Amino acid sequence: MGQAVEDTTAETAVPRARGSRTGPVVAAARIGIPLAFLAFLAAAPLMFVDSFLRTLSTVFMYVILAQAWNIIGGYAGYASFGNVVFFGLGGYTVAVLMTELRWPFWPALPVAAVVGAVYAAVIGLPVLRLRGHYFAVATLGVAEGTREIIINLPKLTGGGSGETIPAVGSLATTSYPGNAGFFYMFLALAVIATAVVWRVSRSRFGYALRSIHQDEEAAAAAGLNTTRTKVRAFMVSGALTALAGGIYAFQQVTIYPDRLFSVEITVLMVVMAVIGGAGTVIGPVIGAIGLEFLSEYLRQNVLEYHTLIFGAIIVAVILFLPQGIVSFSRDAWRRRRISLLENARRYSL
Amino acid sequence: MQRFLQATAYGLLQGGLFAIVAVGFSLVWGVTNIVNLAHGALVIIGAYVAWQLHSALGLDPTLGMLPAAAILFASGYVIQRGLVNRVVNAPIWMTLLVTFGLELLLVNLLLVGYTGNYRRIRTGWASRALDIGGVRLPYGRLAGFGFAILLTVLLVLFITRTRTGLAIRAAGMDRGMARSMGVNIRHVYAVTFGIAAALAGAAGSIVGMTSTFSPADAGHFTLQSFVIAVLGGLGNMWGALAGGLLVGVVESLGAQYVSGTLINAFAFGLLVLVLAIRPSGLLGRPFYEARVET
Amino acid sequence: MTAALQTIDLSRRFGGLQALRGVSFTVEPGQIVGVIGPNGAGKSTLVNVITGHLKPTSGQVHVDGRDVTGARPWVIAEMGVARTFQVVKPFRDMTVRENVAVGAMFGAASSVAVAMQRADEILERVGLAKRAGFQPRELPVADLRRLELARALALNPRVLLIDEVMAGLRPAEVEAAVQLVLSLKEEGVTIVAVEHVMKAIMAMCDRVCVLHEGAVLSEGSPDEIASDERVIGAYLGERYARRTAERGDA
Repeated sequence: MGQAVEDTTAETAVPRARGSRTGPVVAAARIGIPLAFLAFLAAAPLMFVDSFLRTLSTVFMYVILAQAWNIIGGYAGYASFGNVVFFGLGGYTVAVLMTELRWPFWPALPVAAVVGAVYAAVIGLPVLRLRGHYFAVATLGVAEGTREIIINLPKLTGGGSGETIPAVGSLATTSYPGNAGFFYMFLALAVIATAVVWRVSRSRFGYALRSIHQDEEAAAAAGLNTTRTKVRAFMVSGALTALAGGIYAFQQVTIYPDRLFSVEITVLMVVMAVIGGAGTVIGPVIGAIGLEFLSEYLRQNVLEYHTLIFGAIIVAVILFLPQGIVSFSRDAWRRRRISLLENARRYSL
Repeated sequence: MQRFLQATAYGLLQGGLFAIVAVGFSLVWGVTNIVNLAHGALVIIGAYVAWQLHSALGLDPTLGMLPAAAILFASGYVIQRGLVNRVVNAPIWMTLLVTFGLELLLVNLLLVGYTGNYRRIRTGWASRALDIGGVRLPYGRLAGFGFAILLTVLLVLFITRTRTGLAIRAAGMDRGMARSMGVNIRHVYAVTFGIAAALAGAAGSIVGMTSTFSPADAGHFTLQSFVIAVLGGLGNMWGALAGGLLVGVVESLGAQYVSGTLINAFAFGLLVLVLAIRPSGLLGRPFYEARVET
Repeated sequence: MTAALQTIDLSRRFGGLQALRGVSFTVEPGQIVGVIGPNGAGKSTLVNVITGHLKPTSGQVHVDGRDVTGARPWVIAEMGVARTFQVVKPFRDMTVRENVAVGAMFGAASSVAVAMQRADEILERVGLAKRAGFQPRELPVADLRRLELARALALNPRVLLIDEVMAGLRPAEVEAAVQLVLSLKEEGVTIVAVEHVMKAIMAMCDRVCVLHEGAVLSEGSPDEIASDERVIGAYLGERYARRTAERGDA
């Protein structure tokens, strides 16, 4: 009996090699298409109206957030539900530096990244020892708590009434970039974030994250310093998210704690990464683009029911594509069949 | 001193109410490992059901609690069986996202149907109060507290003395083993969820009776249930009661003596602290290990 | 000569259960020591405490003479102590090759490319080379055990703790595993084998340590252990032990 099992396994199971078995044409397309796409985008301000440009800016902002989450949530498997805390801290760092200390924007931005990374390390050490839901809830608690702290420091942060960056006139330390300027900033950071994830996915660090995700105990037994790895991942995630927050703060000029630390943003970045494909490089990009355009479309056309329909669509997509669009597409391509109904039962009890 | 006593008494009464809201949430989390982000929405739905029955039929919320609980039980059962069950075996973020999407749906349906206006159920008697030594105890809140204790006791009895309760506990401790023993896990999970929803609904009608409510409050109830569930230990009924009382008193005293929102920061800080140091809760013993590393 | 591995009065309790009671034993370099005992004797707990997955309630663990009590698992791994898990824990979404390479990457501090090479060498050695591109879920249990072992070997260990690797294997597979372990000994690897399969213990071990209810019941050569009344009593019951002893005397 045992013999039979062994033999059939050897015959029918097809070994799946990581990386592509495809030829040079596909490899060229893999580089060529994104580059062409980028070139196209670079010309966007010349082609599109301001409002569309603003939408694109938001799309790329979410690409950054989703990719940053992807590192700690998708790859390492630690689903943070409080990453918005870095967004808020990044935004407030830039705002406070520019308003209170009269710094120009460009030196303030890297400081935001440092603040994000440091906060991630400080919070990460206690919180990354928790698993699953506990970690998610703890990060949520951290985000909410940090927001309350910000609100309660009105002298520094303007408290609940917000903080306004001097963006125009004689008080402005940096001239306001305008729609095109911010578009390029978000686009550049989105490309960087995606490049970082791409680099991580192929590196030793990527293996470290994935082994933590797939079996943390075994990873530790195999010699991986899981604590250090997790904190590092969290720091990278925090720094990228904080940078996005910093740019956002400047773009909005006036920021409020409720907006900059909003639960909606934190959940949205997770939804985008997950629906696109957590743990893949292109997944969060697809998720961010798809969902933000969907949201914008709903806002334009059915404003009163926007959130309602959006919620319904999220639930539906998650049900039918729980592993994300990218993984589903890859599986479907490999097995030459698409069955959403079957897919929905994948994680059923 | 007077202020302190009043605030403490008030906090205890409030805390009882928070406890009923949280105990179901804690039960579901402890037994099925599902964090239901839509829990707060269920509370608000309960409030609206009671409100509707009161305006249409003049039904007192203490009686309206029963239909509210029944309706919510049925809804909870269906939601779990039809929706949440599909993602039980998925990575953690799945249940969180599905329940979050559900919350968006439910809250927005309520907004569409009832608008965001704050409402309350005006009964004659609820706002009248018992006066003990200068400390004012509104009857509505006293009733709420009473029901909190009663429902907790009933729940504990149910869980420990009935066959279904036993099945629920077994499923919570070892799903696979319970299944091999003939427990219908899908049904048990759905019942657990239904019970949690029913309790949320009952709590909702009390909320409606003692204060104002609107769909926007849903998130607050969910977040609060987190804190209480963690403090009391997941799946621990008495722990949830104790946790609720603690949170109620702390919030009440906090509102009296400390700046309004700082108390929230404190509550969250406490949450993170408890999770970091003693994830099984101040009072509880969890069904499963919260920590990855000992 | 410093012992490769030594536990001193190691104890561990879980709430009301005393899983280990003052376990002291020593493993000299280059030996193969078997750890046997009935179910629940504390064998896996012992491995977990030694390798840092659990902290002892009291007592010490020394590796190469250094006190590593309470150190994190990767610290122990970096010192050259590798282990397998009783219930195999492969990285489920990585190929067999990648699974083993991870051990080399972190336990033996290699780059990805070097680690992959090393993985191929080890897979060849344990007989999994043909399955290098497979996913763990596609493997039968014997191969999963080999994978577990291969990943531990990727750390280039000086001390290897194997936890019930023979369980569920067919006689031919057990024989092959024993040969593999013996060949490792020839390379100077010190081995601690937690086992139930007596055939393997008798064939491989220089010394055997018997655990019963968390304490060391007996220690000695495989033959000594096999005829030790107390050991027989622990496994098969006191009455059987007495009857066997009586029959021996008579």
